[in-house]
Amino acid sequence: MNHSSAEQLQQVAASALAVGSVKLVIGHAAGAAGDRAAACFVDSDDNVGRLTIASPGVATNLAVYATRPEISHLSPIAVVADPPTLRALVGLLQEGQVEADRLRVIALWPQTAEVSQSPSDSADDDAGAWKVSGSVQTMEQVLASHEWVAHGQWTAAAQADDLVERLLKMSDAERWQFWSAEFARCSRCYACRASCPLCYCRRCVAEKNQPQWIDTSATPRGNFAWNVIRAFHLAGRCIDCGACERACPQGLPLGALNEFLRRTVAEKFDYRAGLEVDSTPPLADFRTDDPEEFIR
Amino acid sequence: MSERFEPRIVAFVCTWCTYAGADLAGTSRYVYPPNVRLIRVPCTGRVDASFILKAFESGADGVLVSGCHPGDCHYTSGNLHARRRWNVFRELLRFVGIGDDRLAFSWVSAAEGRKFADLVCDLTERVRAAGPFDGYGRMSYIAEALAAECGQQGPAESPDDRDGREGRA
Repeated sequence: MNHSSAEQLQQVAASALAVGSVKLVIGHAAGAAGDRAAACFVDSDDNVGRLTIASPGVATNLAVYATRPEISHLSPIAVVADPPTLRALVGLLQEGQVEADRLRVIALWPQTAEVSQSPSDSADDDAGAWKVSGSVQTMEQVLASHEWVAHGQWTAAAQADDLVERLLKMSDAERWQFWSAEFARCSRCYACRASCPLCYCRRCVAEKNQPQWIDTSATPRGNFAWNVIRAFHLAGRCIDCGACERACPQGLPLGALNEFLRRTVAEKFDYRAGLEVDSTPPLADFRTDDPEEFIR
Repeated sequence: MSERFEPRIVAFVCTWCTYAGADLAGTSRYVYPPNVRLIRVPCTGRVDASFILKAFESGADGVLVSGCHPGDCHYTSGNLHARRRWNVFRELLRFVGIGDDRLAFSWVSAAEGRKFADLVCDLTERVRAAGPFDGYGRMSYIAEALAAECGQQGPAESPDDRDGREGRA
């Protein structure tokens, strides 16, 4: 961790909390072990010392907390936001899950303009290589001033690329075999859902039981249905932060599903999630000339 | 010599077009295989991805989704939304191992009884060629083998044969 960046972050948070321009800062604090980071909620300038800067390669996506009902009485809230978190916040604004008036960010952006193509490596090596915006900003201000949000660095996609390629070369039966074996490990803890900023439904299809679409116990078919439906519900919405895969205690390669869907949506509908507040998510939209070569 | 495999095909059809088209196929006395089970829905837009998965889980060998031609939707755009969804869900299913040979989408209007009959004939042959869908049965064995490797108990679910008759030994 880079101390000067963290100190700067603490100063920005402290001054905003002191004057009351934000009521809560959602950031990262040092986690229980190693380079892990835990979410931390600071509502007073006395406590800003806990705030630190975590690398997107290891951390949770803090945007997940912006929609939590437990903090809905606090407004405005400020989220310490690296690029994946900003993309998630764009998604939440786009889908009307957070009011723009209520949301502020303390943006983090890379020290160097030249960013590595390999998100995990660069992020892990230089957790402290972040600049902190000089003040608390609105999303509008951040998006207007930093085109790097759209550059799509720090995506989880690159890590999943090889696996996706490998799977695409397999036959249907081999793919079924592969995913059956992977999903068999799923313990249905729903950490993927809890860690995903775009999985915000208060009542998830996995909990609906009349009718029960998804078998709730950790059986092979229930696991298969859950993982496929989870991925599909995020098609065209997943902002590629990789939080689900990092959160998975069983190490399922969820990133490969997300990456495959990201590619499919990009190819068919020329769309990337998390970049524009004013666009419509592709699966909530249609065009009269959408591809239909497969429809008889 | 075993009997010829008769596939089970679940068809989600919209009440305004394809259901009426199937009706017309019947009243016109067109012959088509009895392998298809129609489930009438208000619109193809009503067909959630989980319907398709559930059909396969419940023993379908193939799934057909059919509705009004673009522009003919009773609800203006339900079929256009559905088309977007299929574009992506079909790819996802293929990516997890349920290929195109078991899945069909079509537009059949209320006047296209002939098209419906032909569609069902072709699809039945296609699924017959693909053979029984035993993915979920295999899945249980895969899970058990993995669990045995890890020295754990097998999954609670018994191996799932198509008719649920074969319990675990």
